[in-house]
Amino acid sequence: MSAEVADTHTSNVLALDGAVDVSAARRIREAARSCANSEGDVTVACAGLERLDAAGVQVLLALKKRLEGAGRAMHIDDVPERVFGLLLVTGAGHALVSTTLPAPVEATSAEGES
Amino acid sequence: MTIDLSELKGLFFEEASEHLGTMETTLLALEHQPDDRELLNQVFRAAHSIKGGSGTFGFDDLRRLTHALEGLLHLLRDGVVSLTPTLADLLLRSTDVLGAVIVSTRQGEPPPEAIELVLAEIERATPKGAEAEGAEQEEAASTEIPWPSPAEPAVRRTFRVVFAPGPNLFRQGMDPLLVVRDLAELGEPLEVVVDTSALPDLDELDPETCYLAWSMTLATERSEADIRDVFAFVEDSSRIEVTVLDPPGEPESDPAPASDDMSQPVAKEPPAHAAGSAQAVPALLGGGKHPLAASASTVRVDTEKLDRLIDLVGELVIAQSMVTSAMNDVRTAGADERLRDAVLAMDRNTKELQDRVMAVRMVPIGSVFNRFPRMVRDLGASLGKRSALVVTGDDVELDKGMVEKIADPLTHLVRNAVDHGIESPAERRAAGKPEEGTISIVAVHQGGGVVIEVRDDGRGLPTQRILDKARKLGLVAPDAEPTIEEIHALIFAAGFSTKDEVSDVSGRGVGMDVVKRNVEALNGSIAFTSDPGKGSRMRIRLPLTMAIIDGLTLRVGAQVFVLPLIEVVESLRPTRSQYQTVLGRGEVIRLRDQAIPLLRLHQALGVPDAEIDPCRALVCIVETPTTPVGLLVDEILGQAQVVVKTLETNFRRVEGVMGATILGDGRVALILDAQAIARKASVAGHEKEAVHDADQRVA
Repeated sequence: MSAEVADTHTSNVLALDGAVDVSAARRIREAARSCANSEGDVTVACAGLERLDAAGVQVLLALKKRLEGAGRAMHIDDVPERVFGLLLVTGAGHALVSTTLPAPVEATSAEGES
Repeated sequence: MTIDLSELKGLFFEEASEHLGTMETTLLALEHQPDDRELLNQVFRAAHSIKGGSGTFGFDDLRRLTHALEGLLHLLRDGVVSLTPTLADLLLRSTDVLGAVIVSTRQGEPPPEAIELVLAEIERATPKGAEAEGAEQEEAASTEIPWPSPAEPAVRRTFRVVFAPGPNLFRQGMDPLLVVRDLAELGEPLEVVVDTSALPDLDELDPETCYLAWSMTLATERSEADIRDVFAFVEDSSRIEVTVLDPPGEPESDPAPASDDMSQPVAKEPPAHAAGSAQAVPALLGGGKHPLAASASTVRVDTEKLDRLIDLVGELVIAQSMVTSAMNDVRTAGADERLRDAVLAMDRNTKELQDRVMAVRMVPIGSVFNRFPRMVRDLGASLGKRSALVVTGDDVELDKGMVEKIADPLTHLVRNAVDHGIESPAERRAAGKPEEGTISIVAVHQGGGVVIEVRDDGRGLPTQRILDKARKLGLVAPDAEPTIEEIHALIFAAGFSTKDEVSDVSGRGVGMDVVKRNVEALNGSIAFTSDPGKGSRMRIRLPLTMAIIDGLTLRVGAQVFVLPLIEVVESLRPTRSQYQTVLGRGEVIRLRDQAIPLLRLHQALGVPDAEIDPCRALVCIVETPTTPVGLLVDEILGQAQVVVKTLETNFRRVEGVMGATILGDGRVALILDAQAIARKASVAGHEKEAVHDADQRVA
């Protein structure tokens, strides 16, 4: 497992790789703290993520809580299908993104009306 | 309401086989990771599920065996016994017997005698004094019926389940996410809420302490006991609450808001975000539609029904192709734009319908690969060899029928790799290799098909020995000097084996020719390469499905043929300098320093009035196990998806033809089997050479 933190001009990226489980949670927490202590929104890049357990989830939830407390946001990108399925069915997926749901887009045209 | 008991029993046996597969795979993994409690839980749950159904249907032998296994697994979990190699062996042998008992029960036959032997062994492996506890567990478990009782039709009820794991759960090797997932799989989770209220600030968070809790509203036909069983391994250290929201027999109520009567510490998150209402989540997680955003539930469908549906879609594809073709003719005469757009839209929809229906039959090839870890382990042990199996690409999908039919050929290849390929530990040591050999099975999508490779890092193929044996059998003329590729291809000759002694595993001289025939029957091809001292590689190429394929439509003379696209490497019009005649090898096309034999399709198929000048015709290069071959055709008309109709059903098998199809213009076209045509031409060429050589000798 590895966790990388990269600064960009607009956000910090926490890149998760391999198995993010209880054995890796301490390192993830340090990487998450590093992101939390910088400025701007944080993106959690999950393309290389193979496994995520509840210990990993709660670190991400704690990061989200910290960021939202400071008026910042956490975005989660490219969650692999297998991990996504587990997050979805256990409610963890929603907990991770719940308060950042965008407002529904209003229909602005009358297209389709007859 | 009446329940079709035979249908339920059929379903039980299907699921029992799946659970059995899980038990075997997980036991093998457990052997390498004996401390992984989740693996142990999985084995236990699989055994328990089979036991539950067995009890419901009165399958006493199955129930007896799974109960005994469950007792032993309990003792393992509690640390009363340890997973020694002997115990792992016993558990694996028990799954073998369990499989045999499932089969005998399904067929209404008496159980195999081995059941008593294995039960006795399990009893011997159980320490004295531990049975009493097992008996108590039996009492408890006997009330748990995960299958609907035929006497009492299952009733769907809604439960509120609260799961507050203890703070030390992570340290006990448990993952609450997996427990919640297992709970969700018991029915339809209407609402799942994660309680994060106990979560401290990031700086104060101890990563090894569990702060989360869950509440789930679950609609299910399972009993409360089934629900509690999910928590069997965490209940000691967690708070579990199960409440019935609507009593049996009453209509289902809407799930109450999460905050209504939730006990602490669950339910501080906003409600109504269950698996079923997660449409908004994928956009944030993946940036687009996610396949799992839809309901995760599945429906078992009889494959015959699916086949009929696929036939119908095939007919629709043909009809659509005819409409499009007719439309193209009309368009040149100035057709209505609206009609043209409508036909185009229908074309798109037909294509999508076809793709979706075909996808229903697609299953991961991992269902075949699953059998190999056990096989490699057992074979290696019986032959005194050490070998590890590495599987990659087990999620690659193929048509269900293809997956079933490729199982036997692959099994043969893996057995061969262990028996012929991997050396004994002493030999490997002497050769400077690690004592443990590696067998790799790799599946990848490639060019609209699937390639499966079975590789080993063993001794490789003894090229000279094969040649000697082939000469002895008369497969190669005494003075002929075949290329390495041609020598490797000899192993596919009927009855060929270089192994002097017949073993239980392989070396009987039957097999590789059958493997090749089976692969070719799936419109696939097989090739073999070997590096002496370093290992061997079998490479199988298969189309994704046999029902509808991507093909090149070709003209030879006045006839139109289809060549499966997966076979074609490239096509070209050769220049005068590329076309050559090589003494003893006939016509070739020189391409990137390689001489590719040229095969005139019009001659092979007996088609008159075709273009005979290769530089005015076209050459389609196809791969064969020994060498690429160029097929000479008059013209490439285009690329199309074609519905394969077998000739055997309505006519008879024809060498070199894998089927027929109906083209968009209504014409029937034969679909060519390039491998068979090349093989036939090669044999004819060799015979011609032999006659020529004999004539020379006589002269």
